[in-house]
Amino acid sequence: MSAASHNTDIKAASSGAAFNPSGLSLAEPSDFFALMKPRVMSLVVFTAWAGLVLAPGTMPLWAAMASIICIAAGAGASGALNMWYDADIDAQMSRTKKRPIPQGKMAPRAALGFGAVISAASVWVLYIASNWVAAALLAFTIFFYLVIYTMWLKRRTPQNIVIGGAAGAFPPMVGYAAVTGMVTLDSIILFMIIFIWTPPHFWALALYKAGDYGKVGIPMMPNVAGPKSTRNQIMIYSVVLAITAMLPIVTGLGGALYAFAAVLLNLAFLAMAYKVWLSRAGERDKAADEASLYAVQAGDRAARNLFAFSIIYLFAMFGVLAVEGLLKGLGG
Amino acid sequence: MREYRDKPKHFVEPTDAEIKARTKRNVALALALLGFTAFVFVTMVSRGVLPS
Repeated sequence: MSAASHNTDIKAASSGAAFNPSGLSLAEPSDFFALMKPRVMSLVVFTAWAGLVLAPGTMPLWAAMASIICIAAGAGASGALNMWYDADIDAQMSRTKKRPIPQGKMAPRAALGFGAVISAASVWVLYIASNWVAAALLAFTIFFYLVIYTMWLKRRTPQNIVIGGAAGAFPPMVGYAAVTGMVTLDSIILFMIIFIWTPPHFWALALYKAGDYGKVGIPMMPNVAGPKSTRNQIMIYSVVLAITAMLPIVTGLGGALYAFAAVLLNLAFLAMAYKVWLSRAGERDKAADEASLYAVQAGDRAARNLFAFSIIYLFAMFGVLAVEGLLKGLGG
Repeated sequence: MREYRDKPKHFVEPTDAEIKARTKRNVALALALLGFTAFVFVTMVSRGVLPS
């Protein structure tokens, strides 16, 4: 899809003519909440909280709560801005066509205004509640997700989610910086765990949703490099992830409890990635007979399992790290 | 001299659904602003934490 046609689509939808003749929208508060991608926001809140707990030093409870709310709001705002820009392709994908803008409940410009106001407010309040480093990191995260990922990389390269994944990896770093006012090796490790986790997580989804992305011309890895190459890369990233996940043990950020949980979780992750690697996930187009179609379906199931498990994996990894950090704090 | 007025020629009455959605949005906006005011007051103003 060319940039020109994308802009025309947005303009047509934003004019209001595509909506209600009276000019009033049908968007309800719940639609604005949906714009903020609540499921993504929950992961952001959790990892930011973990970063905050793991950071050395203390901060008042009110400031910690305000920081978490700001990080959540900033993440939600970038989700709204993403839905504003991607309204044209969201309407054509089964996974996203029920979002408020494609449904015609809300004009894209409403999402743009909402996202812009919440972005500015979240960065400003985070600055007041914590420090300028955390606020600057949050502002950069929103910029990265909207401009670098959504506008630049997503429609241009199969490496979109590899580089764009950085946006989702910043929250623990922001939480950490809210306490310390610094970016340290430990906060970079937290960033790296999510950064390396993102490609296998999204490519597992893309393997069984390849048709959806292909339909709208998004160059996801399975559409561009093929399912086999994607499965290979999922395996490679899973191995790198397992190594990265051990770094907190080396630096002392994680203790014995984390070491135990990380080994188990990464073994499980590797086992599921290996199953996908051996499978024929994502090869629906090549399935000529019934037997091969069955093999592809089984592969797709393995990819679906890996995708689901990867979410539990991240929650568990950060959960154990944070709980151990809290216990250490209580003990010390 | 006659005052210029751009009178709408095709006025469209909002539907009940549109008015209901607008009311919900207005209530949510009011509550959000009230919540935000309380949040800023409790966390910052009452503690004397204000930007320098």
